[in-house]
Formats: sequence, C-alpha cells, structure tokens
Amino acid sequence: MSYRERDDGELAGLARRGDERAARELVERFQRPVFSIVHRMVRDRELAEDLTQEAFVRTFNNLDRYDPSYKFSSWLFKIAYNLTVDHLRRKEVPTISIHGAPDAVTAERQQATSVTLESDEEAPDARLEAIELADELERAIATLREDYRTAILLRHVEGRPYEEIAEIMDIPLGTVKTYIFRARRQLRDELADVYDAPGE
Amino acid sequence: MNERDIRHTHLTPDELEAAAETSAGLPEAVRGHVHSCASCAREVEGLRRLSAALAGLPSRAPSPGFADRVMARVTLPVPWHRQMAAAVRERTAAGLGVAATVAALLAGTGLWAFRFPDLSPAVVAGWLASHAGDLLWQGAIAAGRVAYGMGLTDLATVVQAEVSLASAFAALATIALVGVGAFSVMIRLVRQDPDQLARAR
Repeated sequence: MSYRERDDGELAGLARRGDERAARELVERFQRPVFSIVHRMVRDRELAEDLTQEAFVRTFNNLDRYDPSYKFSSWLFKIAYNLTVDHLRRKEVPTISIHGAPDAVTAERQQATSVTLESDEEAPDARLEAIELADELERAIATLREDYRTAILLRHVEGRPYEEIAEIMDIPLGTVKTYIFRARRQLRDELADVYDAPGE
Repeated sequence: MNERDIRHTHLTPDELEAAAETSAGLPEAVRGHVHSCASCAREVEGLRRLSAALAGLPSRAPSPGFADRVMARVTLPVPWHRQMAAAVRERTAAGLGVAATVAALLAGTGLWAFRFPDLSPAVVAGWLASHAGDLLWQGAIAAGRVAYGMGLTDLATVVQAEVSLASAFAALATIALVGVGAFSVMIRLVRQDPDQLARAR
C-alpha cells in the first residue's frame, strides 16, 4: 500500500517509528488546510508560512507525546491554532483591516497583508462577480474575533465536526456552537447587502 | 434533536443548522415549521447561502518547497532496534580495532620469538607462568603496605568497633545504588544527541 493510500493515523504511527516518508506525506496532506487557516488568521503570507512551518516541526518533534486515540489532524490543528493565537496576542494584531495591516507602509507590505482572493483561473465576466463576492466574504471574515474566526473557518472551510473543533480549540462543545452561531450572525450582518440575507 | 412543540416558537440554532444542511432525516415538525414560518425559512436560506460561500473559499498553498523546509528541521524518534543496530555497528568497529591491535602484537611477538630459536612456546609459557605468580604476590604485598601507610587498617579496626555489620552493609548498598543511578544518568547524557537536546529545549 502506498503512503498516499494510508490514513492519517497509520502515517503518524509510522512517523513515530522514524519513517520520514510517512512524515513527509502528512506534511503534504495537511500543508494547504493548515496554511489556509493560519493565513486567514494573520493575513501575512510570510508570517503564515513561518507559523505553519513551526506548527509542523513542533508536531513531529514531539511525536512521542502524541496520543493515537486522538485524530492526528486535531493535534496538528491544535498546535497551529495555539501558535497563531499566541502570536496574535503578543502582537495585538487588530481584527479589522480592510486594505492591509495598519502598519503596512509599503505597497508590497500592503499587498501581502490585504485580504484578497487568490485565483489561478482566468475570470470570465460570469466568474468575476463570484470572485468579488468571495472577496467581500474574506474581508468580513477578517473582522471577526480570532476565536469566532477560527471556529467558523474550521467548521465551514475545513469541514471539521464540532467535536473536533472543541478539541482543537480546547473549549467546550457548547462554546464552539455559540462561537459559530455568533460568527455566522456577524457575517450575515456584514454581508446583508451582498447576499441578500436578512439581519436581525 | 428533542421533540418539542414548535408551533408557537421559532427554530433553535441547532434546528436551523440541521435544516440548512439537509432536509433528509429532519423531524416532521421542523420541516413543517420551515414551510410555514417565513422568518425561519429566510434564516435557513441565509444559512445555506453563507455555508455554501464559506465552503467555496479556496484553500491557500504555502510557497514551493515547503515540505522540504519542514523536513529539514524535523527530528523523528529513532526506534529502539535502530539504536541497537547503530550501537552494535559502533562496537563492531571498536572490536575490530582491538582485534587488529592484538593480532599485530601477537604477530610482533611471534616474529621476536623466531629470532630466538632456542625459545620454544612451552619455555615461554612456563617463564610467564612462574614470573606472573611472583608479580601478583609482590603486587599484593605492595598494596598492603600502601594501605597500612594510609592508615586504612586502623580505619578498618575503628569501623568494626563502632559500626554494626548490618549498618555497614546498608551504607554500602545505598552508596552502590546511588553510584549506579548516577552512572546510568551520565551514560544517557553522554549518548544523547546534542542537536536533539537543543531542539527539545
């Protein structure tokens, strides 16, 4: 069986026994989802790469502490989340930033920290509107509190179940549901004009 | 989802989410309420649109070579059987070195012996045996003289008078245990990879 066909738990077990190819497969499998979450949290590509890399390194360098009864993805996301939140709290990064971070003084830095949708496809007119709408959604997400943002990204972008989100964020299940409910409400209020969704 | 009378109330957040995700498996009361309550129907539709928009956001990729950069910093645990194999390889190399040295000494001794044809192996062995006995005996006498000169024999007399045999054994056993424990900790520290120690901090 190739490494791509093995599930996360098997690969983690192999990596615990020193199998570098298994570890690499896990990195390639989770680099996009972890980076996506972290990037949407910190809105700085270079910083997001550093934090994501650090999350993976800490995960594998502490594999002897990993409990196989938990999902590997939960453990990895938990480490990434803690790293990101610690950074945000140390730097006191504001949650609201419409066109780049407040300290962005050069065009390059503004570009790196602004919330824009990246699309590799050519955008015919029909798609352009969808991209602009998604861009609005990204900016609305950036206005959320960090814990609301994490919860709703894990739930709706990464498709994680509530129980796993509770493990990752180390909060009760009820609190996860509250965060997601409030995040949705805030997003719908922010995007009421765009999505024609009623506010309260 | 608990059954309750929702004819006169609106749907709970859990019910709204369930209704937004799928209509299959929904309690009839919830499904009926969505059809009859315009406010809840709008909530469900709004949730569906938002969920679809969030799910449609693209995932983002780190720059090329990300996995290589991660693996360059990762130190995976080394399984016990690989550690043993490495230790055996190291000891094998040392053992081969010792064997080569002994072989060289023996070869040298053999070459020296051939220069003295009157010396047979039996004569050499006999000479070694008789002189080895003398050397051992003189070594024991010298060790006794040194001990007497250091006052160890007087110390032994005092200890015998002042301390019971049981206490002496207990003290020796404790010292031995502490010594073995300290020694094993030292061995582990010496064998630990310095880079791994630095990363673990």
